[in-house]
Amino acid sequence: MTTAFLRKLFNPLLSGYGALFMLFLYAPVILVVVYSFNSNPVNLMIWDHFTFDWYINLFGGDTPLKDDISYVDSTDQLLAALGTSLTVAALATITATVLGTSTAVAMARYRFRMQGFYRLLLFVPMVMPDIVLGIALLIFFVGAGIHLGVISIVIGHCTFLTSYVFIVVSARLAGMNPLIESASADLGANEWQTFRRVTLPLILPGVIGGALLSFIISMDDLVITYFISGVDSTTLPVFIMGLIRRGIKPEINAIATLMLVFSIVIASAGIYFKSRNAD
Amino acid sequence: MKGLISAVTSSKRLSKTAALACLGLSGLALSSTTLAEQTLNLYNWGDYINPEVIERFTAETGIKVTLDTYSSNEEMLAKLQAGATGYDIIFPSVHMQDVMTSLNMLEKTNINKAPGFENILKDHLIAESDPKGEYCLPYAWGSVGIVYNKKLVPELNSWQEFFALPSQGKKITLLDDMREDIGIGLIMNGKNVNSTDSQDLKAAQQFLLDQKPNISALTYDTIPMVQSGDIAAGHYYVGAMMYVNEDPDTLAYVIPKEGATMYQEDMCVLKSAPNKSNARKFMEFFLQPEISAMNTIQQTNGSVNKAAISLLPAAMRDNPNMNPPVETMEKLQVFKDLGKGIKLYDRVWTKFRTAS
Repeated sequence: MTTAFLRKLFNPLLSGYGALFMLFLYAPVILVVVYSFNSNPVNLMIWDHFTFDWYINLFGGDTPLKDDISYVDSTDQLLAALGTSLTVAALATITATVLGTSTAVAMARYRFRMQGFYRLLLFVPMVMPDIVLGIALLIFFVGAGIHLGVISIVIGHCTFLTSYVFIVVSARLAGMNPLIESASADLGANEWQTFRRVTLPLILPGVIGGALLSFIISMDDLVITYFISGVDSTTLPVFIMGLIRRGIKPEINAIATLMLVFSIVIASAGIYFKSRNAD
Repeated sequence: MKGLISAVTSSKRLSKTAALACLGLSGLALSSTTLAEQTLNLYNWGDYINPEVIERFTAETGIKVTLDTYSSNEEMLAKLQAGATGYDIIFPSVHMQDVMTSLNMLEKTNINKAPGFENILKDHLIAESDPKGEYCLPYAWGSVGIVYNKKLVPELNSWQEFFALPSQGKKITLLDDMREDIGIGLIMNGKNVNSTDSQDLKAAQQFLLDQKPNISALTYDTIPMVQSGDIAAGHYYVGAMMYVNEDPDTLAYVIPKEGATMYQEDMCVLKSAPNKSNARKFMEFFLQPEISAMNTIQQTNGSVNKAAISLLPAAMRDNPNMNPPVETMEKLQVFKDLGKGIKLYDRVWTKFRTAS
């Protein structure tokens, strides 16, 4: 009876706490979305009136904003930065997913010397401070004579994205019965056929989840990318950071809102694939 | 920093094999830049150049321009020191130009021999390492003064009036910047903002501590607060003029009569620049008054080119706070690199920040 009473007392408190927590988490994000419809061209925190102009601007439409003397037009640069970000994220995701998945399969299915140590090494890029990794990669690229550009950013991102994919896929592999693979071998399939027809379909949700996670992390990375980006390879986060001194325009809010929608779609897809039970 | 540099050089020696291994990849990456014949790579602060200037340059010369951005001098230096190359022109603040010259990173361009350089105001050849303009071309400058709400404060001309506002129940803010705030303390005592004399700094500290209870906040978000009237006046950059033009009934910007600080960025060519002759062409292009004015109008900051100033719209040209007369110019001081002297400032800053 007392527990029931306590529960009655606690439940509303807990729900209230939960609601406040979510508010705290999402209020800033909602503000970004709201202010992306603000028509004030120079100061995004002062509400002028409602407008779609920033979105029209982004998609190349003509808006009265361009006639405003205090508006600095850098939409082309913004879109170029977005393009670089998407290219980098796509290339890095593909590479990291292939590398991370094969590493995870190798670690789960074979025994070799210093395996534990190797596993530990795979965790290091994830816990290493970004600034250390960024400087280290820059020094490496310069020392090795690799030209700084999109390729160097992709290589740099792969160093830590591979770890993320490895962990997600490993978790999936751990839940898989290894006897299924033995059964496949008993039935005459060679190792490649077993991987292609048995293992891969079973771990696919993990692979896709890892890939989506990589994509988002790559799109988002600022510190490492700053150091290893070269001429004409400014990514979106680096570009936005560069605007700090001048002040951030509502146009950035508009693009942030679009990215947010995009992230929610990707993240929901990721969660769906990660949690889906393989049939 | 030294450690960083030696790490770069030693890794250069060690990594020959790694370099060979990566040759394939780098060749792949390089081919994209070497194939394009004429390029120029700018590395500038975000939104700190009029895109139209770049378009015009490309249209006239056929040279393709790339623009990458940074958000602080230190960030840019760190990246270049670690060995990033490919950039041709950078836009460091004056004190950073001195640092970079001492690190032997800047190319001597003899831009002062170029036609049109005679239009550059001598007041803006202020880099200690480059008094004649042999290396860099002065690019743009601005003062750091006071922005105020005209509805709350009809007129404001001096720091003294500014610091008297709290006694009338009006709120004020300062920038959250060590050199700027201590600079005010030094200016109010008639001292140089680059002084490393401990007596000068003590006096500045006393001034700041006396004001501390009256200062509502140390912040960069001054404009929205002043515009909404939460704050009557705040310490801010001349970039405030952009907002003043937008809302001239509410906002005003002033360079206080006791004096103020100023910042200036110069256009410099890197020693490691791959396209030095194109960089030189861009500098010459920017020396044209018409081009320089085009940039100043869009950026709403100060011009360093007297022929360009005469081309500015009257509202900018005749505004004493944007294009100050000589008497005001003489009262503006620019920050220099202080070396070890910065420790004294750190101490004052800590005392000021922690005082209640």
